[in-house]
Amino acid sequence: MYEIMWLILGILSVISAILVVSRINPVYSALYLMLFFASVSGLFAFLGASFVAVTQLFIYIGAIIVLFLFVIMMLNFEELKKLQRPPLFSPLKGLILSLALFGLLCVPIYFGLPSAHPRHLPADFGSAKWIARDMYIQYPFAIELASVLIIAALAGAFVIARIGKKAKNS
Amino acid sequence: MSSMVLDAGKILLIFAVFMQIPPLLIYLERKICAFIQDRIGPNRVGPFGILQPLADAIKLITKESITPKNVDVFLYTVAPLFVMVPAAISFAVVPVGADVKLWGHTLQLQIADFHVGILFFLAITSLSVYGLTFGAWASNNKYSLYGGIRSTAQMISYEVAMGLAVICVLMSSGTVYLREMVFAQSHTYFGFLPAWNVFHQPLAFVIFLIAAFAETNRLPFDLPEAESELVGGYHTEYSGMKFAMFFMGEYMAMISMSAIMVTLFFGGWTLPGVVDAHSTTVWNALLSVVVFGIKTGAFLIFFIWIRWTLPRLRYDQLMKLGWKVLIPLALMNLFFTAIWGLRDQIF
Repeated sequence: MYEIMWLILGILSVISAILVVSRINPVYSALYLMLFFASVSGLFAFLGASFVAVTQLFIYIGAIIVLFLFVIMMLNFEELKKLQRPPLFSPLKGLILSLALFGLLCVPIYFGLPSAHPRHLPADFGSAKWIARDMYIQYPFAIELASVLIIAALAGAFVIARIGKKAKNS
Repeated sequence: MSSMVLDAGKILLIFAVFMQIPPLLIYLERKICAFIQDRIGPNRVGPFGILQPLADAIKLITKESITPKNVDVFLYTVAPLFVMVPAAISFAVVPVGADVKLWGHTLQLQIADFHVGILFFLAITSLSVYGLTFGAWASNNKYSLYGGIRSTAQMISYEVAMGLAVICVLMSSGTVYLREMVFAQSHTYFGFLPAWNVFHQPLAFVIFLIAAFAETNRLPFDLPEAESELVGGYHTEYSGMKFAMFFMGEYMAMISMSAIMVTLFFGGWTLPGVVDAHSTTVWNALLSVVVFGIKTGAFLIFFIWIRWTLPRLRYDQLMKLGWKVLIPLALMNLFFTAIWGLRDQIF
């Protein structure tokens, strides 16, 4: 039962990821991106990481894709259809790149990745308390650094937007 | 095996009761609205018009379901589901009654007690914005699109304030499990005041309440469907059963929100002196479900009362209230709650 659900979610995530990049209509891309995040969230839930699964739902599906859609809905699709996409990669380069990535993935799988089946986990593994303990007691420095980085990025975006506005006005 | 049957029966029963409340609410909404506006309200179908919801349902099912020509058919069809399904799923984490011992099995009257509790509720309710957004975009109508864009902006803004209010409650009760939260609120202060979180966190409750109105698109925050400016907002192009599903979704979201407010701030199914939190008799469990129903019902009537009393906010007022009033207040509340929680280490 567990393996079957795992397989279904895995296949679903791969299919939806392919559909995200292959759709021409960006609203459908956003829809499949949502499906992709939902199936990844399901995979996390099956690994026992329920907090990560819920944050995946809450942040990626509940906020980030909504913002994507907000921008997409303001696009003019007639203009978009006329747009000819220049080929970003030739098929040969794409093939080499994907084979290299596949090889990279094979290495850890071959050399014995611990089984995906959660066997010997404590009862509250993946709960909010568990994550909080790890984050704020074991790695507080890394968390603080990450938050400073995010604030810097936010301030940077703000400054860039202001510079653009000034240039337009003068 | 028999415990599995009991669990399945419990889930079916909770879901079946949950699905029966929206028609009742529609009747109540029309009656209360009529009372507030000094009218009589529905009184033709059955005694006191009590069969009116049934007549409405028959009308909605038998109506012609029109799909306009230029809509995006797939998204147009699935959009109402995105409103209704999350509202129903989010009810799964709400504990509706005391534990009960049946045929040797102790049954928790809660569909699922996740590790993440209240966070699951927040995550699932945040999905319902997709129904409005997809429905609005797929309708290919400018009024619908305005409604959709408004709802997206509104829901994202108020979700932040709601999340921050919930964090304050989590900090003061020290758990994310809704079940434990209910047990923690079952005792009393000074022998008569119930130990409800609303007395610990009054500001968080007010913020949560306002955000709940905005999240469920109820007046005074029903900008996405403002009739006077947007025709019908996101559901302008919808008719028949698809429209009814949007409608049902709104009421189901209201029920889930009321239930979660009762659980977070008003002691859930407990009531000191009436329900014994640690007893497992059938009588006690029934009593606890009744208490839970009365508390949730009071909130639902409050929702309706507010709708027919307050006028709609202007859009800039809505955004100002969300970002410049509620979020700073919630952050301040969070800060003081943190200081209070760490008072032993600081002072």
